[in-house]
Amino acid sequence: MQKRFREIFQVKDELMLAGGRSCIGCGGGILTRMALKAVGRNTLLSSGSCGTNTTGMFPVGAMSTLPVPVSILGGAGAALSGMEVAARTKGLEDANILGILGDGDAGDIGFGNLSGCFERGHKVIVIVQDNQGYAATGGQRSGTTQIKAWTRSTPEGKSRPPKYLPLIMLAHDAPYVATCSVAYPEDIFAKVKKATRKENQPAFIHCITPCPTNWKNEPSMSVEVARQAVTCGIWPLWEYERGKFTRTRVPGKPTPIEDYVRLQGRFKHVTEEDVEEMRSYIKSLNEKIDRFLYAYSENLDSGAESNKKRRA
Amino acid sequence: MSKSDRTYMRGNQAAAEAARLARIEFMGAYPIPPSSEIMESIRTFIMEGRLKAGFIEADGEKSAQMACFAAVCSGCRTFNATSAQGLLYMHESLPMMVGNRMPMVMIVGNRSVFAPHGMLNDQTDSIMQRDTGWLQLYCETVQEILDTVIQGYKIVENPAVKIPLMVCADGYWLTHSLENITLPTQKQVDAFLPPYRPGETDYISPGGLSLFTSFGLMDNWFSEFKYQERAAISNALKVIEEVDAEFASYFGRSYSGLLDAYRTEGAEVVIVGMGSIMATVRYAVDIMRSAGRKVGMVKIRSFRPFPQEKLLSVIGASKARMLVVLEKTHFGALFDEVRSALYDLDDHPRIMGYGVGLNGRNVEPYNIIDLFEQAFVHSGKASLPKGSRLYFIRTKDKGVGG
Repeated sequence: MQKRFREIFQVKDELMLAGGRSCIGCGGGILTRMALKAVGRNTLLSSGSCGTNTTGMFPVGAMSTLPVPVSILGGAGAALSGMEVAARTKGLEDANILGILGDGDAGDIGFGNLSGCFERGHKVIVIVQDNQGYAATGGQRSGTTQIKAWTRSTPEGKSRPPKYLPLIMLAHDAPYVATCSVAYPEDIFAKVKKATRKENQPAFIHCITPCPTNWKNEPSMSVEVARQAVTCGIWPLWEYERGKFTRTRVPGKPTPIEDYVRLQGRFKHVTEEDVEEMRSYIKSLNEKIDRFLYAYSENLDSGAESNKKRRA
Repeated sequence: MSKSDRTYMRGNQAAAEAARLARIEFMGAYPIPPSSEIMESIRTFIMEGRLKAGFIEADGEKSAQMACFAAVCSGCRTFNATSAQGLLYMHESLPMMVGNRMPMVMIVGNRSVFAPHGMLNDQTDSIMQRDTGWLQLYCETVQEILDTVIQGYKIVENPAVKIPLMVCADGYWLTHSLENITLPTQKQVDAFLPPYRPGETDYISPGGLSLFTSFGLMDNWFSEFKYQERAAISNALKVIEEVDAEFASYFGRSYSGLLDAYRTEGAEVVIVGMGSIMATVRYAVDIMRSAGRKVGMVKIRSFRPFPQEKLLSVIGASKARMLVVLEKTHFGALFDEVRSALYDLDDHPRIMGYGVGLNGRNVEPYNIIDLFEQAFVHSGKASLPKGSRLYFIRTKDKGVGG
């Protein structure tokens, strides 16, 4: 762990400067900073959604270190495709084409062209800054809003579980798909580093980024919320790299879901039954991940065995 | 000047050939009739090695245009082609290209817009985009499509303009009809159109400084951006004329810049319109003139920016008593534009407007002669109610009111 942190500290180049317009305690800031440290200066960045806030407002740009063509909401996948092909046309083969997309942009309004981008196999890195709602529009539900979570458009709590974008992108034959959480910056750094390898592109990284403004958690507790999401099992961390599927953090004995719920005002209304429903969602999600672990294990029989050991 | 090739071509082929001759570096595309053939041809050129360009067949017109957005950001000479519903679908990304001052050329194979479910030509699709800020040039012939695309890149890449352009070609009437055209040689086009060299902050590169579409909210710079945008669009009025004149000196063909006034001297009735229908009107004018009737026509080539001053000087000089605006829409956009322009004329002619040729309905020379004759009837008398908006849709019974 310490070694992995040392790797981050060795990167002295801060590409994210002061001047961003994110809210206080925004998880997206941590994600963007770590991601930019990992990709370095030879990068063309496009962002949308809340990412537009992170880049700053004219004439102050928090990313004046990188060129940022901000696309329209729901156009990021296509803009990244265009940037990649144009960069190749202009002889910039080794530049990283990086997109930091919101969950609405990636999963809902812009899902079609993100899907198209991955189907065409452009050499891009897509990082989803998942604040589980349309935060930039004031905090309405999105396709990835957590089950039972309050939003401005689900005042009684969302009844359906979120769509699980990483597995959808895995189905696009993407060579690299991973999930991460802002509570583990060294993990973000390592995964984005892997995603910069051209053979791993198009790469998809889905990161949970707490949003104090809409999750109603204490801004100082954002990192704790992101950690609890992983430890309670509602946000499993895993990685798929060219046929190899691994859990990058094995949960061990999960922490109680109540601890995760208690930190956030968006779950204030939940009842015992709601918590039970969340618990069964966590169970089914983790079983799904384990099935993938099994399906991608080298020897199917022993894979099942090793999975059992990992879960134990 | 080396010898150019005379050849037969459909409008779509001519558009693709023009893009190839202009050495486009990128095309973002999504098929939609009647302009699908353009992207197919470009893709084939790339496969055959006749054109070196990036190509993305996107997953929708909005994506295609967003890919073009990224390509212009990256400093590529960029091309796109679409029609009808496709153009409407990409509408959201159109003003963005203007606000970011991104030069590119897009062919619009004009087609009617749903509903009813029409598949044939009218100009409703591109007219609906009139306030996006894009320049719009309408073509009368296949040759004009080819020449306008080549002229187009020179217009939009002018540092005083840097506004994208739609080259509007009537679907099927132009995109699918064969015409004997002159195909310029690569050498000729290269001499006229140098490679695109964007300004230092006009494109992205690693380590370069540029921020497209940034929030303009801090200190609210929005109005200042829009002020510059309007100024650039006005600059295009001059640049379109200049480029057309320069084109004529290279290729020997001219389209009179912003608008083409045909036999308007001393004309009592003048038809104003745009697109392929003006070829029919031109023919009808000749017939009427040979019969001694004083008629003329004005082809609006540049609908955006609208050449108000040039139009007024032509109309003022002609002493016309009656203007008839023909357009392939059902809501009278060109009609309103011309009518509003006339306000600046002290002694202005009466004006009537007709929506004709909707969804590909054929407009024949005798229909035009009929319209001229009706205009003569109304021009002398007070039979038309003053002050009302005299815009009519021509229906099968050919009645004025429909």
